[in-house]
Amino acid sequence: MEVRLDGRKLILDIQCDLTADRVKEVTTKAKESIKSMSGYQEIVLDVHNMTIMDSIGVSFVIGIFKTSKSSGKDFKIIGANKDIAKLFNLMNLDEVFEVR
Amino acid sequence: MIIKSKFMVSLISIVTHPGNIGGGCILFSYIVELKSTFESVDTTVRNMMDIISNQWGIQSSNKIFSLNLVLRELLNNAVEHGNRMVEEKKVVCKIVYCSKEVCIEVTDEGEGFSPSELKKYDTNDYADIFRERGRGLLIMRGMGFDVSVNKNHVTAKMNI
Repeated sequence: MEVRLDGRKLILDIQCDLTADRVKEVTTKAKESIKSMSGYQEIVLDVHNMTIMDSIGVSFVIGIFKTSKSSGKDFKIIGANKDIAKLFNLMNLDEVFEVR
Repeated sequence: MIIKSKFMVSLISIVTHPGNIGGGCILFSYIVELKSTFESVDTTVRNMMDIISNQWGIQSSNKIFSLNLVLRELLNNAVEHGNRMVEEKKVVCKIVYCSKEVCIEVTDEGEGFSPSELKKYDTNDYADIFRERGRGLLIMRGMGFDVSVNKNHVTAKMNI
């Protein structure tokens, strides 16, 4: 995962599939970045390199969303292919946060 | 044919060339046994998807995505809930493609469960949308699979 600040956005570029075998490592890195970075008002999950996400990956995304909301930050997902976007739509998550 | 792999997966049987079993059915099948870790699930699914997409003639990208996802959900559930992440416990996965229908069967070494024991997932209820886990069945059915459970044996079918 790569992390960068772009203005007031903290961008978490996932760079892998969000599947059960990888979520633990990605979660650790994401939490460290969210905690150590400052000056941002929005967390953006960039998933353009992601081809598949399972339900444990979805739980990770929800966890990051909850973290952002609890600290008053905005949250959105960018780079979702049509299958990933359909998965978020299936669970009505695209009505809760923006999925692009 | 049994192939041992360093990735904790044993390939039991594979039919990669079309076999006509009569009635116009062209049969492909793949049976594998894996240990109960998420890493072995990932390896298994990647191997299976490589065969399915390159040799079984299933071209549609959204069908490929659905198969990939549902295989992962079924195997993750078997590993995590059926076998309680006890690595030495086995999961057996069989996938058959015949006459435009894909049938996936997964068996673990657990006690089994009944879908009626699971709390129903309401996508209009924010508490459910944000629940920590429990989306697997919703996802599989949402991907177009018909899922049935017989104790520790789960079957998922879809017309391709």
